[in-house]
Amino acid sequence: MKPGPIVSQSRPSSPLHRLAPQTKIVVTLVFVFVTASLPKTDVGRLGGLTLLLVAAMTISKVPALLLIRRSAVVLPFTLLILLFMPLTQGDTPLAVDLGFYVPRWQLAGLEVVSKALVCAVATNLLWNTTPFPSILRVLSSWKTPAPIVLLIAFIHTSLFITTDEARRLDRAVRFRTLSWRSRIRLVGSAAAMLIQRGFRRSEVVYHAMTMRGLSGSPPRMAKAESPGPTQVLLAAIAVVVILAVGAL
Amino acid sequence: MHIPDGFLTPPVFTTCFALSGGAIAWAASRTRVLDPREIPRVGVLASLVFAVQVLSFPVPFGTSVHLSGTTLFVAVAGLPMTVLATSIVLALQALLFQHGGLTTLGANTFNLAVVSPWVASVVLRVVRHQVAGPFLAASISIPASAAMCAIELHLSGRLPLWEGLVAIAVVYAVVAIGEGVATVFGLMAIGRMRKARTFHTSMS
Repeated sequence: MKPGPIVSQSRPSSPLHRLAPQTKIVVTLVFVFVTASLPKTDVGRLGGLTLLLVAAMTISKVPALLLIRRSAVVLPFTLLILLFMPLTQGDTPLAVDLGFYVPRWQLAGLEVVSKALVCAVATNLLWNTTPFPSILRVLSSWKTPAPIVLLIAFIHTSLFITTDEARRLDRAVRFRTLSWRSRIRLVGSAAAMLIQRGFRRSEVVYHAMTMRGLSGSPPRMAKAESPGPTQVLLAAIAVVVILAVGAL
Repeated sequence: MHIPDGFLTPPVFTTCFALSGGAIAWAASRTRVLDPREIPRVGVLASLVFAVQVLSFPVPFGTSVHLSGTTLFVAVAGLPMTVLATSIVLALQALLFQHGGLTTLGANTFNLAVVSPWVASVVLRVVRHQVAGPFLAASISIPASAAMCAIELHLSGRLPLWEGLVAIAVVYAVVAIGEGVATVFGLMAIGRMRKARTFHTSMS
């Protein structure tokens, strides 16, 4: 899948933005796992969970259209699988929770699209309301090995530089070649150039880090503040509500 | 090929988490990833996995597909480092860009960061020819991970097995050939650059 444009997080102030990152991460994980694990014909429960997500989106003040547009990246794969639905599910009518009959494959298709979109929007909401350094601090306070957290931070930083470089190379290849054979050759060479430059850059970064005192032990990362009792209570309520809607 | 949330049933995604977790633990034990001195190297490599996927090449029907770069990375950085770097990139892709879900992260990691590099590594070891080896490794590893994706979807009741495998074989045949050709040229270019660098170093 082609990576989309690297987007900056929106930072408006809302009650959801002010929540402790730990609370948001735990609630999002529970929400996504409950939604993804719902049985196939549970339209009612899926609808209930979607309403919870819509409520969270409203509170967050993040534009709904922005969240949905960014989450639409799941659609191509979903549509590909939808083509096979009549083969796997058959055309037998099936009663759903709401009391009416629909062909089984249509219901399965609707369920797949809804689940994928709802989970993607939930993840997107987390990303849009929680700054990346906060997520890293939470990982650090959850006893993730320090080198792994540093590695993720390093990747996140260098991602912007390398992806930008790759985009420029891709544009150059597209503008300068006409035949597909020469283009494939140039794509291979561009990838090689990226890798070589990347390795050289990693050496430069390593030497720079050594000059600044990298001794072999990972530098300490600021840990996230532990959430107060109110935050813990809020997280517990949210998890109970999600589980209740998912199990009703 | 990044499976979104909601496609796999809990038994399938749990099994995939366990399998990919085991593979990552193996890869971590084979590299010095926990050594902070390796952070710049692994970090840049992982961001390169991401960046290489920005490069696209044309396929018939007026569309284009992006390079996966797995075989290139296996050939340059080795299997354990490729497994680790690709796994971290997949996790970031799921969180930042919703390419693949959180519940399906284990499955996507297994398909793209374990099966694909592993197949490429095996083929590269078996076929030693400078051109045929990378070409076959790239051409086989891509459909192999796609086939694994089809099997997981079949086990979750989303895709009929044989029809799914045939569809994937047709779709990925062109992609695999393009990836194979690009990988061969990529490795040749790396060889040329290394020779040039060695020459300049020895001259200076």
